Formats: sequence, C-alpha cells, structure tokens
Amino acid sequence: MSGISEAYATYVILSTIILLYSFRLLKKLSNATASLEKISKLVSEEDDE
Amino acid sequence: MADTTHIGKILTKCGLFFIFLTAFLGLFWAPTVTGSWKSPEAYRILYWHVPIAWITIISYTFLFVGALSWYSKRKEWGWNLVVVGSELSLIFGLGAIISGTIWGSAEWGVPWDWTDLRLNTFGLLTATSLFLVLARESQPDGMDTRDTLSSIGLFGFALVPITLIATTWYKNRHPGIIIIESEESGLSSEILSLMMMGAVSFIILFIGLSIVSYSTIKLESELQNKQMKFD
Repeated sequence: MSGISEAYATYVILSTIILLYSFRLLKKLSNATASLEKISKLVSEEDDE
Repeated sequence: MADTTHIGKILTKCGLFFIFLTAFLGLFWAPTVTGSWKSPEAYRILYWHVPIAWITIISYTFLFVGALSWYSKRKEWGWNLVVVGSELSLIFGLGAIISGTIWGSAEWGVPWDWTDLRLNTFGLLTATSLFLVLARESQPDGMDTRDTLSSIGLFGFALVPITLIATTWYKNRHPGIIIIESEESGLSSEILSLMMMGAVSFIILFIGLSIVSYSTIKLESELQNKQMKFD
C-alpha cells in the first residue's frame, strides 16, 4: 500500500473545508459592508429630514 | 478600516492560491521518501498537516491573548480576538485531526493512539474550540457569556505547552519536529523546502482570514449600533 489514494482523499476533504469557510467569511464581510452602507444612507436621510 | 479589509481579502486569496500550489507540488512534484516508511506516498499529506497544526496553535494563542484581555480589562478587541481565535482554531484543528488520522491509518495502521500525549491534548484543544464556537452561537451575547467562555479559553490554553513539548517530553507514536530534526526524519532538502513553502502559505492565509473575520465582527457591531439608532 503506497498511500497515494489517502493523500488525494485528504487534500479533497481539507480543500472543501478551507474553501467553504473562506468563502463563507468573505461573503459575510461583503454582506455586512453592504448592509452598513444601506443603513448609513437611511440614517443620514432621516437626519436630513 | 476599508484598507485593512481590502488587505485581508487580498491576503486570503493569495494564501488560498499558495496553499493549493503547495498541495499540487506536494502531490505531483515532490520526490517519494526513502527509509522505513510503511506507506511512503502517504507522507504527501504532511505538506498541509504540519502547517495546519502550527496554525491551530497560533489561533489558540490569539484566543488566549483575547480571553486574557477581556477577562482582565474588558477590552472589546479582546472579545473579538476570542471569536476570531476560536473559529480559526476549530477549522484548522479539524483539518489537522482529519489529515492526521488518515495519515495514521496509512502509516501506523491505526487512525488514533489513545496512549499518545500529543494526539490527545490536540484533540482536547480542538474539542474546546468546538465548544466555544457552539456556545457563542447558541447563547445570547452578554457579559456573563463572555466571562464564562473567556475563562474556558484561558484554561484550554494550558494544553498548548503540553501539546508543543509532548513529542520530546513524552514521545510515543507521533513523530518529532520533522523540519528541525531533518536528519532523524530522513527528508530531502526539496521536501523540506516545500514544507517551508506550505508553512509560509498557511501563515499568509491565516493572517488574511484573521483580518477578514475581525473586520466582519467590527462591521456587524457597527451595523447593530446604527440599526438601534435608526429604530
């Protein structure tokens, strides 16, 4: 048994975990940025009124 | 703030690119090991396993510093560091355990050794991170929750020095520090260079993810304040 299939399996599993977490985090950041811009706009409009 | 967030995004993307390059080179370019290895090709797992285990320890150090700062001075950044550290130590800790058990199955014939100190303290460390993440998600945010979780983080950190010295102090099945003890491990310079590349790539990814995670927490808190003001 050379162990090459175990190596491939490990990289597939770990890549999935790391990619899912990284993209989830990046998406969370862009959602928070967009929501903050939106609410800042609403607050400033409210202040103007 | 926007600049830091941008840097975090770039570092995350660069880190991802370089860790996948390391994996590609580890699988298709790196030479096969010689010596008394039972499954010589399975060693390729170590190009990710070793740096991931290091990053878990660094993440837990973040958690410790944050918990200490929150517990002693009630610093908001300290709590944010607890959140960042617990999430990253969970993700990377799971990565180290999954890769370690697969490599153990191939090389030792068993995925886990309950008599090995390093494996068990590392497992406990990851279990503590899992508890912290789940507890934070399920409990309402407040002083009491933060105090309890910070104290668990502080006690959990006691496992870090034990995990670090376990292979020299109480060596059982887990190999020693392969990058430093290269003569003992019998690894060639190409393999060690690629391992160093893996370590640097994971550090870049870790810094990027930490910045992105920290910025997200700050933005969400700012958003909450603005929403309250608007209501």
